[in-house]
Amino acid sequence: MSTVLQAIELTKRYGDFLALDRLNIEIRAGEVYCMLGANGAGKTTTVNLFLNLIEPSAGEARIKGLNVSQHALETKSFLAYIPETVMLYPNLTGLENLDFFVALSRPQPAERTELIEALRSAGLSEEACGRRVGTYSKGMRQKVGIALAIAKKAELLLLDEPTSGLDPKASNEFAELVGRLSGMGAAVLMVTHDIFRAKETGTRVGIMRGGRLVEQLNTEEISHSSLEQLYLEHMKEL
Amino acid sequence: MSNILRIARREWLDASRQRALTLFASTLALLLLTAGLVGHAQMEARGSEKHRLQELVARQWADQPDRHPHRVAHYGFIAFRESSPLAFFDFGVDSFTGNSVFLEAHRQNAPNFSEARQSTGMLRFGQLSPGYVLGSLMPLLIFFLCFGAVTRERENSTLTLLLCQGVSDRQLLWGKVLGACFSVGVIWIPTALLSLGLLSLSGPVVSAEVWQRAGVLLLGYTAYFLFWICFAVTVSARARSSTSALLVLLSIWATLFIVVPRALPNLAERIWPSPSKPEFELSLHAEVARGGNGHDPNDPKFAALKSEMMHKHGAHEVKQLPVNFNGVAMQQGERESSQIYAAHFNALQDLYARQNSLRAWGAWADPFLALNELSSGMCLTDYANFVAFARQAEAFRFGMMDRLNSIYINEIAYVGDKEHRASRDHWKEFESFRFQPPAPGESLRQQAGAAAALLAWLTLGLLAVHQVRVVKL
Repeated sequence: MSTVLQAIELTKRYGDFLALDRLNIEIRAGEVYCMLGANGAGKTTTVNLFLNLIEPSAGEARIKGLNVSQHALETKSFLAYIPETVMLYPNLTGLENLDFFVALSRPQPAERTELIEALRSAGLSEEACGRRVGTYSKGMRQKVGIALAIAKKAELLLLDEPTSGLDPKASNEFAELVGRLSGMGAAVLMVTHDIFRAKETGTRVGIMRGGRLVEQLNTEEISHSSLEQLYLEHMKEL
Repeated sequence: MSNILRIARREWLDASRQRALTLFASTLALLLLTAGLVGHAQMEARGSEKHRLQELVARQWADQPDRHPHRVAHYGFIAFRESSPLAFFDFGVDSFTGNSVFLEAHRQNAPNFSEARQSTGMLRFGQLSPGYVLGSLMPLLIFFLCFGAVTRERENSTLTLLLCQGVSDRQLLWGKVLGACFSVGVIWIPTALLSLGLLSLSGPVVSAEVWQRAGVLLLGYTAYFLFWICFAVTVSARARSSTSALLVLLSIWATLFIVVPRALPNLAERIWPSPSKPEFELSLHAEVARGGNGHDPNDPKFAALKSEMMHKHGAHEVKQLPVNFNGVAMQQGERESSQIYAAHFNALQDLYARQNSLRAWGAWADPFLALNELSSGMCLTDYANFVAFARQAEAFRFGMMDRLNSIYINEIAYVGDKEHRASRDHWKEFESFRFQPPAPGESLRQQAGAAAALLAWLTLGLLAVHQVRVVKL
């Protein structure tokens, strides 16, 4: 499987504060990498560096071999981003929102049927597609985010605590959708606090502390409880 | 469709679905409609009234019986300033300057009967012309439309989603600018069409000159709106929050639209103080009094003239002259007093010109002033137009009095002077007054500074949008 995401000695400083310290990770196609850590551990900084919302102080963030800082627009054509709450335009319907964002991301606009299909695949009913997003629940918004990744045929998903605040059913549905996308060959970097979800969804887990990646392991090799214990041990040292 | 167009389309869709914004825009549109229709109706009524009165004055003048020319000179004439067909769009200083002037012998009267004198104090709260509404309130709508153009996207986290689709800063900002242009166009284009429609109703044939002026106005206002859109979007791109963007924009609005336009005239008055009306008239009349009294041919100031004429014609007595010396003295007195009036008037106008120069420089600090100058210049409601009227009226008065004095000199006998009459046929030969406003090229030359300032503002706005980097987090 080819490498989709790569961090090479990736570092971010804000003055004297080291937000991310020489991060080295590699995520291949079809892989779900879950990044765990307390608040301020550097998880969201990592995502923001790959989104090119901030510039690295040192090192490189690469997507499909391209340096994100140097190929900002090109690298974005490969990725989909789903934050804690997918914020859409409340005055537009789900379908209008999807149409808008998909149209921005690719040269040829999508057919209406294709968009509706993407929304359905993400678990939204046709009735919901025609409603203004202002009336949507958080779970429904997250599904539009997934629909966007589907319609965009994203090769990389950057998820920043996407299940935070979702009820267990919605959280489970979301995890299933992510699983389906990775099954279709997408690489996924999921930042989360949810150890259970990380073990269930991820193929690999990384634990961040104070801007450093302190642990990295395959989810197959560890049980829920061991992962939790390991995580808590790392956090204890804080 | 490019990303710029897509963002613009979404922006427009979003704006059209915001009730508060739609309400504000509808109110503005209603104001513009009212201002346009009422302004045009008033201008039409006032225009036909002036035309009727000018004809009446000319008829009354021509219908005078056989009369002594100097009585005719004191009977006088009234010159009316006909408004431009575009005056309904921007009243400029028209409401504060005079529209008619009484022309008589020995005196240069100031134009009077301004709207300000005839109306209540309400006029001073602001004049509801389309130009005023567009110039001062449209930027406010633009600010409400654009203050959150970028900050709201950031606050709602849609900015990240937008940027993740490969949208560049420039695409985003130009899309926002274009989207706001759609919204502004929804008000501006119908207003422009309505104004052009009203213009075409002004009189049987609207001259090409008026259409040229209208063309410059359309370009000027469009450039003005585009600048404010660019400015507001740039502020939004750099602001940390929507609240701070709105505060910055509203502070700028208050400064440039309320403080500066009111402070500049006061500052100009402090730097170049102008005399009060009684002060001006007192010094003027004192100087006129020092000259010869045209009513008194024995005034020692005419002694040299008298002896020169008598010597020239070999006369021993004034009554032996082939011309009426009373008329000669009158003509000489009129010429002298006219020169004094002209000198004082020119000095006062020079002073006003210096005061107005501050406002002209202000156009480089305040786009509202730049638009005001250009707009009132093109609508022929600016101060330069008023001065042109005052000068033409005075030239007309002087020509009229000089001609009457020539009739006096040549057709009224010296002996029994007051008992003689000149034929009524003379009065019919006088042409009526017709104000010739400056040509569009001349107006544009007068407003070149304002037009250049407006163009500079627009360039600055476009460059800002092109160069600014969006604050992303």
